[in-house]
Amino acid sequence: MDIANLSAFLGAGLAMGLGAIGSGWGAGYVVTGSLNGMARQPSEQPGLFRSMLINQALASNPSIFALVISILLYNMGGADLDAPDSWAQAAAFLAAGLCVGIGTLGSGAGSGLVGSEAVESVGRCPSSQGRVTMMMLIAHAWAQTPCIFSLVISLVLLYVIGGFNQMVGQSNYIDIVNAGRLLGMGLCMGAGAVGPAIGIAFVGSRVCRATAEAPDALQKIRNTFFVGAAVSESTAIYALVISLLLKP
Amino acid sequence: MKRNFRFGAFAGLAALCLTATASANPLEVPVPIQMNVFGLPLAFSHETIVVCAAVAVLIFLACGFWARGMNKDNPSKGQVLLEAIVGMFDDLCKQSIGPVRGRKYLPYIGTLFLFIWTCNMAGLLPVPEMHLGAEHYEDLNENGLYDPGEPYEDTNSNNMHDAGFPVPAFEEPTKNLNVPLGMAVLFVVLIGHGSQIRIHGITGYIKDYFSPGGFIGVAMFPLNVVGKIAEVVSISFRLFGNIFGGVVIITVVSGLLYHVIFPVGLYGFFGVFVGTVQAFVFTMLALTYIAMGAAEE
Repeated sequence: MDIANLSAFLGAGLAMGLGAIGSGWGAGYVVTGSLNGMARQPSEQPGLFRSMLINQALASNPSIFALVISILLYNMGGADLDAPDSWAQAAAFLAAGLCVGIGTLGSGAGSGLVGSEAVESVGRCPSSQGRVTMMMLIAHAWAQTPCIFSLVISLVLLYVIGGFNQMVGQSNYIDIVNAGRLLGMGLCMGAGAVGPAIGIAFVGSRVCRATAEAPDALQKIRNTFFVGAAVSESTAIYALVISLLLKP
Repeated sequence: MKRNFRFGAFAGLAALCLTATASANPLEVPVPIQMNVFGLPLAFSHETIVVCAAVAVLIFLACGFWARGMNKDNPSKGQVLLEAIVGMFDDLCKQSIGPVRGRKYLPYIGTLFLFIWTCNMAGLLPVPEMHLGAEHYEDLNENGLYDPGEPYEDTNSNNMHDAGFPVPAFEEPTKNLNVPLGMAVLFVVLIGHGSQIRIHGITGYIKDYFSPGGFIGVAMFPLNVVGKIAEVVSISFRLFGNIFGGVVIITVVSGLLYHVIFPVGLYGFFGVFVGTVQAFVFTMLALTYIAMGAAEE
């Protein structure tokens, strides 16, 4: 089963390599917000530092998802898969790696945007730190929802399709068609998760600043945020639906 | 107060008995307790039950001890801590749902946070899987280290006796997808959608699926349905992915470093810090989803 082992290792490398891009950028970008905030309010340095660490940890979440898939693929590549060659199974492993790798690009960068703006907002208005932190956590969670969709599709590709050798033993024609479907499934969800994550992160970062500047209007800000983020997220849900339809 | 103690002890004992029954199976794969409720198979994993027992005993004992010394004029340190935790969640509920109705949701939200937080911290306790009083084949493995070995399996006699008293390992129950998924279904679907039906009526609940209304609302119906399912999926996979990822990182890096010093820092970051943050994120999102249907106008 050379092809499946090859593509499992290839997928493992692609998942972690691509998955590190967005999160690395995001975790670094948080620090710029922290420095801006410290320049504004030097007396708030300890609080800003704590907030920065929380935001950096949250911004590196997507790369943890990529790491999980990468290690699972690495273990599968090392396993002795006792089955005849199947392009579909190889495609499932490669697509799992690509899906989570590309899917975390937007969420990592988006979380960085949210975190940077949130820390700077605390520097602007230290008295509303509690409310900003609350909205920040929700904004992070919402910006990472698309990358969780891609994690789900990756796990489906790995275990439901790739792991049980379901695709093995088909005729050559069906095997190639299935390989195409699986690659399309991974690429659809992976690429479809990038845009919505960045879009929601723009909404979330402005929400953090608005909460700091006008704490009394929290209810209205939150309602607008939820409606806006839900509409922005609907494109990721289109990708999820199409990618589940493509499942052979 | 005495009743609190008695109830706590009873709950702990019951849970330990359940654990003992759960672990007494000779299969290598730990099959959880299974039972059929109205034809639906329900399963409890060992870790969940152990943590449930620990939480029940701790919380009931804490209530018993602290309630005895509580004094409004001269609060002790523990009382201040408890009041701060309760007050924080009280404020969160009031801000999200409303001053009157928010109070009713405080017990759910507080319990959810405490349960998930204790689950995430369970991996810190260094309790390996043990069989107390079991007879072993050998005590030393080929590396000269202590090895509990496999307990005797004598199918003729009572299996419980030979395998010893089983104590399962303390691991994060939340790294098993079933636990976050169960919590998400309980809090988002049962409490969130349930309170929306109770407050707005079944027509108001169905109208929410055609959310912008009019002709566009009909076209948006399938997307709204997928969106509601996506709420449950995203909230549960977020917790699962983070805790499972943390466990994978700790295991891999600790293995590479031969378990010297660095794993302490890893446990500090991925165990304590990420565990606390993710427990709070899960609680906040559950509260937000409940508030979408139950908020006061």
